[in-house]
Amino acid sequence: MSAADGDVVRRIRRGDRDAFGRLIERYQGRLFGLVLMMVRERGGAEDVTQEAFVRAYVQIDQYDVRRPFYPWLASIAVRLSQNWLRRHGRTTKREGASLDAAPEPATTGAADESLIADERGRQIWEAVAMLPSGERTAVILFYRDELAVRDIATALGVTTGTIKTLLFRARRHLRRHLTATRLDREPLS
Amino acid sequence: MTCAHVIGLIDAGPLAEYPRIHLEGAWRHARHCPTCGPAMRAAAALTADLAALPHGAHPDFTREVLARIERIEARAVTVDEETTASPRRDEWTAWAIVPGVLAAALVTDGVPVSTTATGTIALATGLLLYAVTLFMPVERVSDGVSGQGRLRVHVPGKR
Repeated sequence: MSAADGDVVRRIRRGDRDAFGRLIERYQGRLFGLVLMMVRERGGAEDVTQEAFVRAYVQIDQYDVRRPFYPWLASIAVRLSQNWLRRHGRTTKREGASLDAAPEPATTGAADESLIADERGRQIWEAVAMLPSGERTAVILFYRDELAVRDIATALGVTTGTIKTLLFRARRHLRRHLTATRLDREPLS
Repeated sequence: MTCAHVIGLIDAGPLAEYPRIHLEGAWRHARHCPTCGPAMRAAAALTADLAALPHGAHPDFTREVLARIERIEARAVTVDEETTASPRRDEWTAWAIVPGVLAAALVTDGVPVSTTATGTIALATGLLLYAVTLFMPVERVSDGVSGQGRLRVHVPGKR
């Protein structure tokens, strides 16, 4: 956890609600992108992301300042996202700690127009959105958010072996899909 | 070293748990293999593309979250005050029961309650006190400063 985050958390614990705004500004983009990829609906993603920050504030005393802040925050968001998916009938079974590796019922994986401007980026986004939820979550947290495997496992409540398996499958699925659609060109910037 | 093994290493990416020499041999193979080469290039592009996946931003997000927290805290203060008030009401009720129970005990036990006016008045007073304190509304009046409340019995017709 950065020293800046530590200072902010200490101020929050002393009752400085506005200090929490700094953490929100710092992490809202990353967290929203993660949640959006999980629930695949913008309105739901906004609600879940908001709720995650509120829960983090209410439970700030439970946070271990020796650990990175974002994985703790992401673990809250992942649980809320999974609850949201169950409430909206987007899963056929409880994902729980095992993380669903099976394909979900088809829902739109359409990229959020406001987030991605170019076509290739949109196709990458949609390819990831089509992955099973466990693979999707692991991919976002590992490749985009650059979390360590151990931190992802802690955030999701599974073993590091499970995360490695999910990442392996995800890379394979994505590589094959993108190769089949002839997108194996030069990467984005 | 087979292509299937090399492609497996490619898909494992940074998580491939093999000695460095073994991995370097796999990459040497891939660079010259018509099957593994494209897979390795596709995986490299994929890694870069995934790292470039967008975050999201919502202009008023921070303000909305802080406003929501403020509402929650305001509700929590109200609930705390109501919780503080209720034990006081319970105390009133408890004490109000005492004269009522005593009056009831005297009557049911056939104790020769005095038939004088004094005895009758005492008995009636006990029962009346019991009834009044049970049913008269009790309201909390805030002192407007600390947020702490005090109880006041509301007398109908009186502000």
